[in-house]
Amino acid sequence: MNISGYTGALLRIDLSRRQARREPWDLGLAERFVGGRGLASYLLYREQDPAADALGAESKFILGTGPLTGTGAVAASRYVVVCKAPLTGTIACSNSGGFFGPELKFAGYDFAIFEGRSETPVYVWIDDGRVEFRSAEKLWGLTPAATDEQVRRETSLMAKVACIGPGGEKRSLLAGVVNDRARLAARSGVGAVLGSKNLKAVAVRGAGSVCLADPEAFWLAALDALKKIVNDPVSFGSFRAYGTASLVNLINEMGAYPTRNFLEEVFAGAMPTSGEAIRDELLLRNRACFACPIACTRVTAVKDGPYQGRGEGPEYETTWSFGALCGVSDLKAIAKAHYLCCDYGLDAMSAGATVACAMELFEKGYVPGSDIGFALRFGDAEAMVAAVRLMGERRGPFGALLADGSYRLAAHYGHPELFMGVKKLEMAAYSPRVFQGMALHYATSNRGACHVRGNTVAAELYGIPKYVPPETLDGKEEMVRRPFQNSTAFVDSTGICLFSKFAITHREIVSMLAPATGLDFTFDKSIVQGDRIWNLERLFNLRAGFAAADDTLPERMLEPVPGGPRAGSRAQLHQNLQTYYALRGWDERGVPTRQKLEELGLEDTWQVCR
Amino acid sequence: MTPALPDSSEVAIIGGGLVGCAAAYYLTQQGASVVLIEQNGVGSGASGRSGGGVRQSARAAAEIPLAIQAVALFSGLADELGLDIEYVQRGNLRLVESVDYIRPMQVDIARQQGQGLNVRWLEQSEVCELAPALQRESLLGASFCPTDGHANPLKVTAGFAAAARRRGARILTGCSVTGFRQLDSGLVQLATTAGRLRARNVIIAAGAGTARLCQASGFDLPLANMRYESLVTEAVRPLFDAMFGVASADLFFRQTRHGSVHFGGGLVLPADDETTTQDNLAAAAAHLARLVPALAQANLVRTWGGLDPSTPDGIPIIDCLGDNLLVATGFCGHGFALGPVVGRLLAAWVTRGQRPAELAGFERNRFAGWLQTRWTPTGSFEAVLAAVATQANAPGPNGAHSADPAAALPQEGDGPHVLVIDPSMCTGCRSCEVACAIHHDRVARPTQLRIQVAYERDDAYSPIVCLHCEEAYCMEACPFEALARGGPGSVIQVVDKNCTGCLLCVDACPYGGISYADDKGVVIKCDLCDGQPACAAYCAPGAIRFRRVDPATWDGMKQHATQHARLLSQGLT
Amino acid sequence: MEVTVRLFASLRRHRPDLALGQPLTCQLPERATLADLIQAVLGPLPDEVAIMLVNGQLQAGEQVLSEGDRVSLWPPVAGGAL
Repeated sequence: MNISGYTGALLRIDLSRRQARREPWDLGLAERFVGGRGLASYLLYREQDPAADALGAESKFILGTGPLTGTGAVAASRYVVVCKAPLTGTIACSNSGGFFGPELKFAGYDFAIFEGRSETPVYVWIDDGRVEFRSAEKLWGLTPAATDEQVRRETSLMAKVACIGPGGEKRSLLAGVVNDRARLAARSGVGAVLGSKNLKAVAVRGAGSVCLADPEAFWLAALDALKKIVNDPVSFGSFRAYGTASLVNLINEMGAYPTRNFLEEVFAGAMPTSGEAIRDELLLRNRACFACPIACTRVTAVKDGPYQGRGEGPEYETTWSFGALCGVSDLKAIAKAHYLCCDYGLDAMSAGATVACAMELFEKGYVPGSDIGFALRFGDAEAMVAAVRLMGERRGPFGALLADGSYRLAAHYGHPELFMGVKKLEMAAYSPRVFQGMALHYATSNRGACHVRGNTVAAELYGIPKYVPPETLDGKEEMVRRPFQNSTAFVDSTGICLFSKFAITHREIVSMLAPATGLDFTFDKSIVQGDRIWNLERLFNLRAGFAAADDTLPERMLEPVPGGPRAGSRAQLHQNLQTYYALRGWDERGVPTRQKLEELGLEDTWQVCR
Repeated sequence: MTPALPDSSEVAIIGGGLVGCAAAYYLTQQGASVVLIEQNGVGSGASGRSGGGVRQSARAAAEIPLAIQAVALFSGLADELGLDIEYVQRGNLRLVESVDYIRPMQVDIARQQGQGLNVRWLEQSEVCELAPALQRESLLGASFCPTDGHANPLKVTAGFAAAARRRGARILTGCSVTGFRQLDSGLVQLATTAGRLRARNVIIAAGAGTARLCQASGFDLPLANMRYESLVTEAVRPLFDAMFGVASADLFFRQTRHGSVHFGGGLVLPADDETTTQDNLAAAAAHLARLVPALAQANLVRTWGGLDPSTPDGIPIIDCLGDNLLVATGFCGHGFALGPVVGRLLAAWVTRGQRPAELAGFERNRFAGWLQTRWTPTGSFEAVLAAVATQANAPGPNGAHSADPAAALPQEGDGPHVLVIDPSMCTGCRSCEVACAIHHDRVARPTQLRIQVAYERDDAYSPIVCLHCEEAYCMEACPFEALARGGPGSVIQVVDKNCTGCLLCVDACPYGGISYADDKGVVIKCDLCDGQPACAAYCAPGAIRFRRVDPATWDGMKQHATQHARLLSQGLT
Repeated sequence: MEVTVRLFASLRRHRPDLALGQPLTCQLPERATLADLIQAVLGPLPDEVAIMLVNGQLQAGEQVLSEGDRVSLWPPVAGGAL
């Protein structure tokens, strides 16, 4: 029987010995972990000790695609980077769109597992069945865009390239993996893992096909999903017109827009940094990832002045991290900081949050100005951009501290309470003091305080799937668990972009997944699959040493909002954490019970590691 | 004799075309000191190259009140300037040659009447009575506005310049403005090839040079320079005295005082030079000969091209960029009639310090709410229709897109059904490629494709696909009859059993429309999916539509494909 | 009574005369609702207005307004993920 949807093969690349081999993987795993995030996490869990050093030679990292990646299913462009996260110590799964993921699939691989460490800078050229290791000496120090161009020149113009920038080379714990010049699998410091292996880039060219088990049924399902997206006012309206930054004014007006390192929740300078302003002042045009009808990517430029630059974005989160969070209202400076992060290959969210943390440390007198070299105050656009350069170039002792994120920075100066994140990952632009669902999600998310894995704001503000007021506590545990956290685990595993979910549900996704793969994917199974994957990630983190005490929020979030429409509101995490554990089938220490593991078929998995 | 550039002036005008010269004239009438800077000669740009129509009819709603004022102004212009401008006010006829245009034309007439314009429908017989030189069989009727007419554009422009000079305006020719800057003092400083000039007020009326000048100074205007082509015959006997256009907007003509017939039209495309194109001119000449048999034997004496910037909605931008910095641009190939009145209104704006009420509706911020900031301006008669189509792809009233992309288009061409590509709508997602592969090969694949997306830059991409040409180079090139017309319409299909994989057709096609399939050993190409193309169905932004093509669009697509097919192997996704 | 209203994202195109974030002051009869205000400002297009804040709190159309209320309106917008 033909393998459909999947290619059925993985590419194992040993960087120490410079060997590569193609291996089949057990298709029986597909119905348990789907693919992408789920399956790559399972492979990592099986192959690597979760307690090992994330930047050690024995660490592995996996590039993974979902069964729908490259099939042409709507918005199915994603690939994942799975490894142990150098920033957090949790499992990392950062994902990105563009064209790299589908190309890996067309080359014939669902996954590529990288092991060992090269003595000298190297890049890997995967040309369908052929794999070459080539010197990256000349590429070292280049920006991702320059790397992309040089690598394509040396290999094939049609190759797709994923690489690290100077940040990853210098093992910045904020470094991401950059594909297609400007798209980042950004969070958790995954780029530092490539840096630690001396792996500058992976270039792929695929001339093969992705088979479809039932092309007619698949096509009808894809057209149906397309129609739903095109008729959705968010997916095909506001995402195209304003990007996610249409939220700047909204979240700010409701008093939930973290400002000046979360000291306040209202930013007076929001208007000039909003999505409307980006569209008026920076936007050149929209573009799309592979097979995506939404086209939310925003090609922008700052045409002149000190912040001149061009790139993709900024979107809501980075407009915020360099804007409100740093107290900066100069849109061009924000765009510049964002472009610089892309050039250094850094996670722009954490980078902005780290600068904001440094600003508070400086203003409170905890960091001597002589350490920084200049005054780093909230609201100072020029200093903000200068700090990003220090961080990206890892210049001097302070630059090195910035490059490793706000937790290590704040802790170094003896004030870890000024770190605004969970499990060493910085929070996003939705205040957990206002959105109680976000409070619970940030505290419990498997990669730290990330927002995409359980963006309950959808329910607590836009009313998707149904409106639950942000301050409500009742029922938030189940809401966070199932329609948000578990659901993202499933969707991320299929290869479909989470942005499609404003218009389509698991139903539309499984109706593409089943005819693409020929496997029995159903709505009901997808619910269990999501739960299983979430629990698998939890097992990894428990093995890595995390415990219930880590499922918490910064002290500041438990204190009342000082002003604005939500004055007095605060995160009330302690009231629902135990209920959440119980609903998850975990004991009071946050460990899955034997019964839960049996229900999900993870009992063996837990034992394997033990 | 060109005077020297002074250090300062009350008003500086950039551009010695009709708008600039008229503004200079009316400003000096108010006693202002004026310096006008022109990079070539007076009227050397679009003004001197214009078709010369002075019409109110067939204009967008926003322009009609201005055009009515313009015609009133033209009546007294010869006396005012002391010069015969060859103004003939004997009406404008917009001829209808196809039944498809009767209904739209009648609807358009009602719209114009609603705005108080004296315009009416003429039956075929009435048209021929008014203009017996026209070929009766070629016509079905016309719109007629009796107060419209035509004039000599070069004389009007030169007349304003001379009159302004007489009143003290300094007109510098052969001097270019390279940039401008607003100073803290409130003055505007111009950098020119002859030195600097400071002015209290500046009017930018630089035609095709406007976009670049403004961009160099930090203002991005949604303009694209389009080329219009004209021809003139030798002098012939008097044939008609009205101004003529056609409903499909690809031809205009008039007979000048001394007997030559000035005509032009055809394809209007973005361009940066004023050359003419053989195909275009031949098509216009053939079209004219069909309508006016008496001209079939007339000799052509001269051809020329002219550049005029277009805006996305087909009406000009007349606005201030700063308190004392005015711009009038984007006349989209129909600005001659409006030139004098716009010049007069700009003069009033400068003198009174506030926008004249007549200029409401021409602000540049009207484009702020549009979805895309890159445009494919049309500048033609159909600009307004095209603008409607563009807007239909922006979020609608509820922010959503029409489920049926074809529904957004108001009218189709009369050619065969093909895949009509609009690069301005493409987001580069490659859904078309994968839809095509699934439909034809039952798999998703990135190679051996019948449609492919070419990437030029990070903000420019479009699908490349067979255009099913009427005269198909591929078919001519194939020695084995492996390419044949089949199916409905003019679909060119591959006859697999005849194909030897010699690739002569691939080389012959300049549009990138044919590929080679390694695994089949034959060439592959678009077959329009038996009338239900998968790519168009799967193209969310509406860049690919399956519809009847009009010749101008078809030609535009060919030109685009010729330029972009080579990018297919560059991999710039 | 007097209330202010601001339009965001694509709603801005209904009042192009207003700068981004510029409030519009409206006189309304006592006990007027949010829906009445929207009707007065935008005419009958309730579909496009999806998110309504009154003094920073999310409200529905039947909400009765009071003197000095600050109203902000959005079409459907979203971000992050779901």
